Amino acid sequence: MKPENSPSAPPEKRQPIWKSLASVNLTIFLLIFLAVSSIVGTLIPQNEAPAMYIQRYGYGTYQLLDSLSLLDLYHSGWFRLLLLLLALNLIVCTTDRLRHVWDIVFPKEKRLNENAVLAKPGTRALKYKANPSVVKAALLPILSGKLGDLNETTTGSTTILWQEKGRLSRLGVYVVHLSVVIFYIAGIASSLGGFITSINLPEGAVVEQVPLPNTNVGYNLGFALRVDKFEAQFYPTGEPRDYRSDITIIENGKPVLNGNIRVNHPLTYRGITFYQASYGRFPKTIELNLVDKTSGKTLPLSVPFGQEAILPDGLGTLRSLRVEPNVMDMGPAVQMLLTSPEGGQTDLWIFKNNPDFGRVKKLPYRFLVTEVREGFYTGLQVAKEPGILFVWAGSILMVVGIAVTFFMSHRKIWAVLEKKGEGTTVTIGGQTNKNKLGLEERLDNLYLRLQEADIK
Amino acid sequence: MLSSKILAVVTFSYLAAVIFYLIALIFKTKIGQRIGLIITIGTFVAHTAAIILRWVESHNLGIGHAPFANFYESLVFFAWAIILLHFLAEYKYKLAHAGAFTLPFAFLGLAYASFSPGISSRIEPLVPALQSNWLIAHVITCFIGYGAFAVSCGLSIAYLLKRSNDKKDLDALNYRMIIFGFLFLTAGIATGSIWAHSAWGAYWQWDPKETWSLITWFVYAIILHVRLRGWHGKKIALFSIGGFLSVLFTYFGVNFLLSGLHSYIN
Repeated sequence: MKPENSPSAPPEKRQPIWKSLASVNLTIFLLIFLAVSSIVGTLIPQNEAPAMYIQRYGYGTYQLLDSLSLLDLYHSGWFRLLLLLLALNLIVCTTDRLRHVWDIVFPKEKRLNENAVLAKPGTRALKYKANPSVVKAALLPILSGKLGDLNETTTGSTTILWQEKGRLSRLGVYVVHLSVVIFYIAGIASSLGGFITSINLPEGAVVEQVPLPNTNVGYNLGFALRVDKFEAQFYPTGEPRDYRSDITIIENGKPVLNGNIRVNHPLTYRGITFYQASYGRFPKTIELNLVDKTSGKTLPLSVPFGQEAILPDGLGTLRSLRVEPNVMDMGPAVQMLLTSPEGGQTDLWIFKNNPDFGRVKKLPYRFLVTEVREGFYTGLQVAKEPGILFVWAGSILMVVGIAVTFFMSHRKIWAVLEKKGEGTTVTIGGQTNKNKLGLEERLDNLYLRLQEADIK
Repeated sequence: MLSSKILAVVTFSYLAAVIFYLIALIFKTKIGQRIGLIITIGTFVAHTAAIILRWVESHNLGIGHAPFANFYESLVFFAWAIILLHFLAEYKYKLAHAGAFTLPFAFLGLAYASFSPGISSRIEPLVPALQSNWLIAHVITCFIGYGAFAVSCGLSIAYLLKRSNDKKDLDALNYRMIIFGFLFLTAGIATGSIWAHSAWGAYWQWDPKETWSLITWFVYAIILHVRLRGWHGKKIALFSIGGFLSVLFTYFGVNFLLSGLHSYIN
C-alpha cells in the first residue's frame, strides 16, 4: 500500500549504487543496525580499564571485544561509518525525490487532474432542481473560505469547483531529514573544533592552561581564571542546595570580570565555557604544637600543605608530604620531611592523638598535630563546544519538520457540478496525501452543511 | 501530604473505571462504558488537582518547584499524560472500548508510585542539577511522548485481540498515537540534550539514559519508515508493543540496571 500521491522518482536509468543509497530499505536497515549496536554499547561497560574487562569476561573475550571495537563502540570506526551511511542515505534520498516534489509544491500554474476527478468524483452526491449556474451561486459562499481560494475548471457541461491546501507540507519530511544531517554536522564540529576537560582548582588557584583529554598537550585559554571562593550550601535535610564558585577573569595581569559559576549556570568567556561539576576538600595547612621535651611548654607552628615551614632556633625545615585521616587505627596523621641545617633528611609521621610518635633525637621538642585545616577545591568542566548551535538548529527543525510532516497534509477538495436534465447533480470529493480519516471527516461536515443549506 | 493521599485514591478510582470498561467490553453494555467514562473524567479532575496541590505544597514547604522532580512525581505525570491522550482517543475517534486497554497503564503507573516501598512520595528539594527551567520542558515533553506510546501499546493490544475485519480506525489511531509520541519524544531528547549542555558542557555523552532514549527513537523511526513500505495493522501493532518495551526500559530499566547521569532520580 503506497500513500496516495506519493512522489516517487521517475524510473530513469539510475546507477545501482545511487538507487540503493536512495532507498527506504537502506534507511530501515541502518536504523535497525544503529539501534542494535547502541543496545550492545549499553550492555558492555564502555571505556573501562582493561583489567576490569579481563576480570569480568576473561582475557580471550576481552581481546575479541577489543578487536571488534566494542569497548569504545560509539566512537569506533564502524559505528561512525553507520552514521555516515545514514547521512548519505538521507542526502541522496532527498536529492532523488525533491526535484519531483518541488514541481508539485511550486507548480507553474494551479492544476487539477480533471480526468482523475471525473473518473472518481466521490460518493457524496446531492441533487438539485435548479440549473448549474444557480446552484453554483448558492454553493460559492459555503465552499469558499474553508480551504483557501476557490478555483474553477469547466469541461463541457461540467464545472468543478476546487480548493487546494497544504502543498508546502510535502516539504516537511525533507526538513526532518535535513535536521538529521545538521545533527551529524554538529557531531563533526564538536569532535574537530571542540573539547571538554575537567580541572580541580583549590580556592585561590589561578589557571591559564587546561589539559586536553587523551593528549599531553595543554590548551591555552588566552586569559586566566582565578577561583576566589567555593561555597556549598545544603538544605536542612542534608540535600545539596547550591554549589558556587566565585571567580575572577584576569587578562594581561588585570582583573576584567568578577562572576560566579553554578550548576546549570555556566560562565562563558571568549568562547570557553566553565561549568560547576564537582567539589571536594583538601588539606590546606597543618597546625602543629612543638612540645618542649623538658619543660613541656608548647609552641604552635603552621605548615602549609605540600610546603615548608622553618623551625625555630634555626634547627632546619619541616615539609608536609601527606595527610591521612586514619593511620593504624590511631587517628589522623601527617607525614613530614625534616631537613636539618646540615642537609640530613628524616621522614617522620606526626599524629594528632599519639605523642609517642613525632619524636626526633636531635631536636629539643617533639611534634603533635593539633589540627588539619581544610579548604575547598572546585571541580570545573571546561569546554569549547562549536556544535551546540547546530544542535539548536537541528532540534528546532526536526520538531517543526515532524509536526508539519505528520499533522499537515496536502489536500484537494472539490465539488463537481453536472447538468442532469433541468436540474443539477453536485458530487463532493477530495484527495489527500495522508490522514485519510481527517479528510473523510471534513468531507462529511461539508456534505452535512450542503444538505442543510437552503438551495432550491 | 494531602496530594499523595488523593493520588492513592485516584489510583483505585482508575481501577474502578478499568473494571467498568471491561464489563462494557465483555457484556457489550453501553452503560458500563458510560460509567467508566464518568469515573475517568472525575478521577482525572482529582488527578490534575493533586498535581497542582503538590506544587502548592512544595511552596508551603519553602522549596517550591514544579512537581516533576523525582521518580514518584514522574510516574504521577506519566499516568496523567496517558489519561489525557486516552480522552483524545475516546472522543476524537469514538472508540468506546479504548479505556479497557489504555487506562490499565495509568493505573499500574500510579499503583507502582503509590504503593511500592522503594518509592518515596515525599516532596524533596531540588538538587542543583535539577534547578533549571529546562526541567519542566524536558519532563513534560518526554512524558507526553511516553504516554502516547503507552496508549499506542494499549490500542495495539486491542487491535490484536479484536475479532473483526473492520479495524481500520483502530489502526489509523494507533499510527497517529505513534506519530504523536514520536514528536514529543524528539522534543524530549532535544530539550534534554540542550539542558545537558548547559548543565555539564556536553550535549551528548552516550550516557545509558541518553542512549536508550535514542534506541527508542530509532525503534519508532523504524515503525514510521516501514509504514511507508506498506506495513500496517497487525505488524504495526506488534512493532508498537516492542517500541513500548523499549520505552519501559528507557524509563525503568536504565534506572535500575545501568548507572548514569539520571541516577539522582532515585
